[in-house]
Amino acid sequence: MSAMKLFQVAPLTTSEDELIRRAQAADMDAFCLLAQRFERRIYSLALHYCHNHQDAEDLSQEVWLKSYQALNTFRGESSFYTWLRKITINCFLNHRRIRSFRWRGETTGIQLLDVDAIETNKHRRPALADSENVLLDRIMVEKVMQALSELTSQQRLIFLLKHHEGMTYEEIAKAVGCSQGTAKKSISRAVIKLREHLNVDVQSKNPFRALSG
Amino acid sequence: MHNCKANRETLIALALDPHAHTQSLPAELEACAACREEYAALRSLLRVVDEAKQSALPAESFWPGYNTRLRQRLETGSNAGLLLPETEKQISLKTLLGNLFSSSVRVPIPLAAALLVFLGVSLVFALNSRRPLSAPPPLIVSKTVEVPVIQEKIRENTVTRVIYRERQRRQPASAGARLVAGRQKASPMETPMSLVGFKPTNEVQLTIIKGSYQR
Repeated sequence: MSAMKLFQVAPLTTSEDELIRRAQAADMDAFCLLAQRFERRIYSLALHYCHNHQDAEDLSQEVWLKSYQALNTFRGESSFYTWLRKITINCFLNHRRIRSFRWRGETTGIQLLDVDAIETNKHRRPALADSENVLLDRIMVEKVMQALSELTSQQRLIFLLKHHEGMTYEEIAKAVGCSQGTAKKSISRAVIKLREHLNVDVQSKNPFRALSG
Repeated sequence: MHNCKANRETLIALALDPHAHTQSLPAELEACAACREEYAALRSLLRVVDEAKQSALPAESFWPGYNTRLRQRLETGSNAGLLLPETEKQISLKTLLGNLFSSSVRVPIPLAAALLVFLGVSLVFALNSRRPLSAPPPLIVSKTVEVPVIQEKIRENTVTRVIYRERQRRQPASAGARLVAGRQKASPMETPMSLVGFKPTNEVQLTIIKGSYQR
């Protein structure tokens, strides 16, 4: 499933290039519109990286503040999202150096979707409309987050970049500042750890349900 | 010979590759039941992670508040002058300095160890030979300083011995005289003085008194 399809983007009434041009001229409204187009992807990445909503919000907003500051350096050589992702990775790496996340010990609980939230997504997954499925969803998300928290921050970041962002090993190595071999090994170890932790039932037709149950 | 463990990384890479999902496994892996099962498990695992990613996102009602908070932070930062968009020149200088201090260089362990040893030895040499080679010759200033010298007087001991010696008289060899002579021989005054107890630094003063004397 393509990562882009999972996220809704702001209405494309104004072209991205136009918004970027205006934002570079210190138009904050244009920048906020631009942010709305990619905020879900950045937030999702941050949430999977740091495992709680408070940190995810802080981290993702830090990304937006940094990108606003550095917007004049964007020259359109790559897509805006590629440029933004580079800033995101740098923020994650800096964040890892500066402070440890709160998800160990203090706030391991994850703020999960409300029942209402699931209801609003009914059009996407009508089968999950009932409360039992909502509960199973919560358990499943909590288990996956818990499994991700068992990885080292580098393994987690590299895994997210590969699996969620679909980056190549070469791109990951360049972005994170490691060799391609290290990136490959990190992903292998991450997948093995996740598999051990989640213990997905292969025989089940729906491993997603099997895991929740 | 087929080794399932050795092929695990290949299976992980295939499971992670979105383009590989439509393709079948390589013949070697397809023929092995364990590898097929492993591949299926990995695909299921990644599907679960995908599902979780979708479900973990906050509700739509979350985003207006998020955008408001972001807007507030941007405005606060801009008003405080902290969020002024940087020019390219500023950023390139910042990046250059950042890279200078945070960049890491990959060095093989033996080379790193050799470099450390070399640095250590250099440091030791540098510390031991701290005298500058091109330093000017030291300026010698001569000054006459009078220092009172206390000469200790060596006190030499003077050892005085007085020896009394009877004057020898010619007397008739009477029985009484022989008795006196025998007594004189036995007198301690006539015993020869030895130099026992003298030290080389001592001054010897010897007085010999000849004559008769009263005992």
